Formats: sequence, structure tokens, C-alpha cells
Amino acid sequence: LSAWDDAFRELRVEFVRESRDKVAQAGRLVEGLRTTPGDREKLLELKRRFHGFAGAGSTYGFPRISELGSEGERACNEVLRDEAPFPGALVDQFHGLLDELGRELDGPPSESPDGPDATGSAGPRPWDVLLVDEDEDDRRTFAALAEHEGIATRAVGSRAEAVRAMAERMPDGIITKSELVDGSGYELVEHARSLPAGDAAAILIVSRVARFLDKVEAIHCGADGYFEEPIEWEALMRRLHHLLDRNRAETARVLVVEDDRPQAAFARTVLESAGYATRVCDDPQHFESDLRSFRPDIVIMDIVLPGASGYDLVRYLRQDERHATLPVLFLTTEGELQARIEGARAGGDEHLVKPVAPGLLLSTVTSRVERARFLRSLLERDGLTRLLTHTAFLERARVAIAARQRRPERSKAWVMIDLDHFKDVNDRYGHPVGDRVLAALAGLLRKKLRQSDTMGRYGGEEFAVLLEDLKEQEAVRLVGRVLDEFGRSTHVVPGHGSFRVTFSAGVAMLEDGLDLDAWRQAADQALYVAKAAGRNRVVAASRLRGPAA
Amino acid sequence: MKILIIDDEDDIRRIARLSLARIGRMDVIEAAGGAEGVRMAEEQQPDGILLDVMMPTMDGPATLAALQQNPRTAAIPVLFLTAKALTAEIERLRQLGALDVLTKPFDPVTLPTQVQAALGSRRT
Repeated sequence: LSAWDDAFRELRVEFVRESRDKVAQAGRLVEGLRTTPGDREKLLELKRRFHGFAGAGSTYGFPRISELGSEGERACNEVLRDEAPFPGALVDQFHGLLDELGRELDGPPSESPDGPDATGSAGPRPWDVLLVDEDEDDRRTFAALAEHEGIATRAVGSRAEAVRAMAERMPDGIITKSELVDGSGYELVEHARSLPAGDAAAILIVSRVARFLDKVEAIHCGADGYFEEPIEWEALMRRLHHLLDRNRAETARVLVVEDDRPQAAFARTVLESAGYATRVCDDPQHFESDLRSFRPDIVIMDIVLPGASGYDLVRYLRQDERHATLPVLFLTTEGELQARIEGARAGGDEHLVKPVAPGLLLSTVTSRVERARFLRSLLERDGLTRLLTHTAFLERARVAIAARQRRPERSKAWVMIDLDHFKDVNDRYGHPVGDRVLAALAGLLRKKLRQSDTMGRYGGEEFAVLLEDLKEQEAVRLVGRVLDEFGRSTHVVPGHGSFRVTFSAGVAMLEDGLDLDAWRQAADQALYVAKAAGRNRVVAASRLRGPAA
Repeated sequence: MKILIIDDEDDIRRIARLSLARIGRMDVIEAAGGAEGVRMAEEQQPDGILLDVMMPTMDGPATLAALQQNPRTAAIPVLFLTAKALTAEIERLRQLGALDVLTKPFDPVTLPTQVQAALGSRRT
């Protein structure tokens, strides 16, 4: 733990001890006022005591003490200003205030100014999750589990109540039954997704009867996950947490490479108080594994480290093109030009001299992280469709293959999508119209697939998608429904009427022994067969092999 | 950066010192009253002064006046520390010639940033 925390706690203990004495002294002053009500000196002294409590309470984590102190000070001021005779009832009021002050000092501090919550804006608030379920048992179970994990819950029984609850405040997560007393859970999910903040919510659907189509329906309407009754609560909570964390992962992560503990604690206190997630790497040997597991948005690097210099670590980091946009901030005791030149040559972006003021450290980190994120989004996303670029998509596919070795039970499907007769569209209506069709399909994929699904623009009119946790048939069905909807929509060209476009798709599951090339080829071949069979259809790779033995 | 804290309350001086020294990495010196504070400012030439408004005998405004009249301390920026967050009160304190007014109770984690920001804004 940081030295700051320990030191602060010690001071707080001292504050409580001394404040008890001060409360006792103030009590004696009040008693004195009972016998000599006109004693202005005593009253001024009492006012000073209250003033002291008002000014210090919150600083030490006792906001109520500040309030009580202000109240006492105000009462003293009124008597002093009016020069009125001291009202006897005031003695009892003062005693009441002092009694409550004493009780506050006996209790624990209600806020902890050493934590990230102390600055008010920074601390992560608990997740807010809405459960739409009329079953009392489910509600109780969920409330108990959620409380255990620090999730705030709201529970409603009907679709209408859920719509009202969302209007009041959009929750971070929604869990709904597929069938509700007054309507369909699927429609509720579609409604949620159409709301302004509904995009980001984690949505799970629980279906009473396990029908084949339910899972496809659930995803199509915009849910992130699907469960069947009886609910496996542990799995559901795990999934919920995973989805919620994905949203919160937007919190920027700062890796502090620093072997000096007070320095590391300083950086950590400052950054965490502003809401950053930080990890301290105090040994260069762990640098690479920290980079991999923590995936920082920025690195703060000390120069003098055991066994290696900060310059060396940054040179090493810059050799990997995946870290090309990762900002590096050097923190040194050396302000000389030579140190700055050395830092810049190693690939550092900024150079701050210790001791750094917290404000400067924060503003530097914030601006660097923002720009790096923007830059990365430009590099990874296709400008027209905002989907992943070819390269970024392949990188995710590689990660998916590696992940399957660790979690083989989670299935993965590669979907290759190609627009039908797209060249005709471009030839007839021009490229701007063709671009609009591409953007429309990208938008539909985003809307109808899960946020967790990986979508890329693979080539000119070719799209690729990775779907998780679906069987082959389910993936085919889901893509088929996207195709239905896309094929039905009309593209209007002012002055030239309107037209429709379809696509063909191939679906290949990631199977044991498949590497990136083989997996991609399997999806490609299925797409080829879909085209050859007349287009406007989805074909599964397994069908190419004929019926299974 | 060297900061002088002038406050008659022990508990405020202690937590301000911890905050400014540990988190803000500043040198901190303290005085428990106005007269002592003026003497210390003259001798040690701090970069800034954190001055409590309400003190017995010599209060904050009186201390500020003494600092302003002394040519050796007149240029040192002063930040008032007050528990009265009323706009009129803050305006009155500014007009006395203080660089800025910070309110009590303060958050010890962000106090150094506030001090830094106030003192930094003066230079540019």
C-alpha cells in the first residue's frame, strides 16, 4: 500500500483523538455560558472551536463533522451579531451539537479521502442492472448475487414497467425473460437498443423453453447473450460481468514502470484519483508480460531501473508495430537536454522532470491517451464503414484461434460475406451510391449482431465476421436473417428510382487443427459455393464435405 | 517549490503538510500564527503562502496586509484558506490582494493540484 495511505490514516487517528479533547473543552465553555450568559470571550472561543470542526472534518473523511461545526459557528455568529442576551435554550442546542460531534468521532469516517472516490468525479459507480422478470424467486436470487458483486439492481415484472424504468435512467445492463406478461422480451430489447444510451447496455435474454430459433432471435433483436431456464446463475453472472467490464474497459489504463516505491505510489495515487486504472511494473523483467496482460493505453517510464534502462525498454517496445501508437512518457530526475534527446531517440513521446506536479502529470497523460486512441481508431477502422480493416480483422482472428486453445468450449464461426452483383450497382449508379450500400450493410451488421462479435471490411465489397458461442446452424440462421432484412431494404437514388441488393455468405466453424489460412479458406469455399448455387444465400462449410459419417 | 502554511489549527496544518509534501512533492514550512508567519516568510522566502482567514489575535487579512507592507515579502503570492465559501466573501478576500481563495474543508488528494494551478496561473 502506498505510503500516502498509511500516513493519512495515522493523521486521521490523531485528528480523532485531539477532536475528542476539543469537544470536551467546548462542552466546558458551554457550561460556562450557562452561568455567565453574557461572556463574549467565551462565546468567541466556542465559535473558534466550531469553526475548527467545520474546516477540518471533511478533509479527514468526516463530512458530518463539518456540517455540525458550521451549524454551531452559525449559531454563535447570530448571538454575537445581535448583541442580544444569550438565550438559555442555546445551551442545550450547543450540547446537542457537541454530543453528535462526539458520536461522529466514535464512528468510522463516512468517506475515505485516500480512495479514488474522494475526488467525487473519479470513482467507479456500481453497475446498474435492470431485471425484467415476474418470478419472485428469480428476483431474490439475482438481488442476492448482484449485491455480492457490487451491482445495484432494479427489478420489474412487466414490459411496460421496464420501458418506464429505462426512460428514467438507462441501466448498464438488462436481463429479461423472452416472454413477459404484457409482451415479448425480444421487442423490449429492440426498444432498448433504439434508445439513445441503449447501444452500450449489456443485454441478456432468458428463454423459458429451449427452442432452436430462440437464440438466433435473441441475437437478431440485439441481445448480447442468451440463457435458458432453469437459469444457471453462475454462468449468467459471469457473462454479465464480462459484458459490463467490456464497457468499463474504456477506462484508460496506465502502466507505471518504476522501481522506487514512493514514486510509484505517488503516480498511482494521482492517476487513480482521476479515474485511471494503473498497474506498477517494478521489475523490467515483467515489462513484456505486463504489456501483454494489462494492455496499457500509456506507459510512464522511469529511466534508472534495476538491470535495464527505461530507454532500452522503450526501444524494445517500439520494435513491435502493434505498439507503434502506444504513448510513452519519460519521468526523470534529469532535466538536461541530453536526457531529453536520448528519450526522444528511444521513441519516447514526452519527458517530464521529477518532482512532477499532479496537475501536469494528469493533463499530459489525458491528452496523450486521447490522441493515441483516436489515432488507433483511424488505423484499425475502415473510413467508410467504421468496421475493422483487413489487417486488424486478421489480427483478431489470430487472437481468436489462440483463445480457442485455452477455452475450447467456446465455438467460433468465420462468416465471409460478399455483395451480389455489386459491380453492376457501381457501374449503373456510380461509386458514391455503391459506397452508401456498403455503409448500409455495415450499419445493419452492427445493429443485428452482438457488440462482442468481430466485424471487418475484408475487401472492396467483402465483409468478414467472427461469431462466438454459436453452433454452425445457429450462425447460418442468424446471417440468413440479416440477409433477409438487407435484401428487403431498398436503396433510393434520386432521379433513378430505387434498387435492392443481396449478398452471399459462407460460414466455417473453427475446428481443431485449423490455422488461420485453413479457417479462412473454409469460409471462402463456402462463400464460393453460395455464389455458384445462385447467390442470395448462406452456405455452411460442413455441407461441402457431405453428410457426416 | 516551497510553501508556507499559516494556520492556527494543528490538524489543518498537519494534513496540509502531508498532502503538499507527499502528493505535491513540495517543501512545506508552517507557522501557527500571523506574526510568526510574516517573520518566516521574510526569512525563508517561500514560493507561495497558504493563509488561514480566521485566526485569533492576527487574522488572515491583517497578516496579508503585513506581508504586503514588507518589501521582502510583498511579492510572495498568497492563497487564502477559508471555511466560508460565500461568493461575496471570496470576492472580498480577492480584493484584499490574495492570488486566489481555497475553501476548507479541502480534499487532501487534490489540494496540491489546486495550489499548483493557482500559483502556476500567475506566472503565465
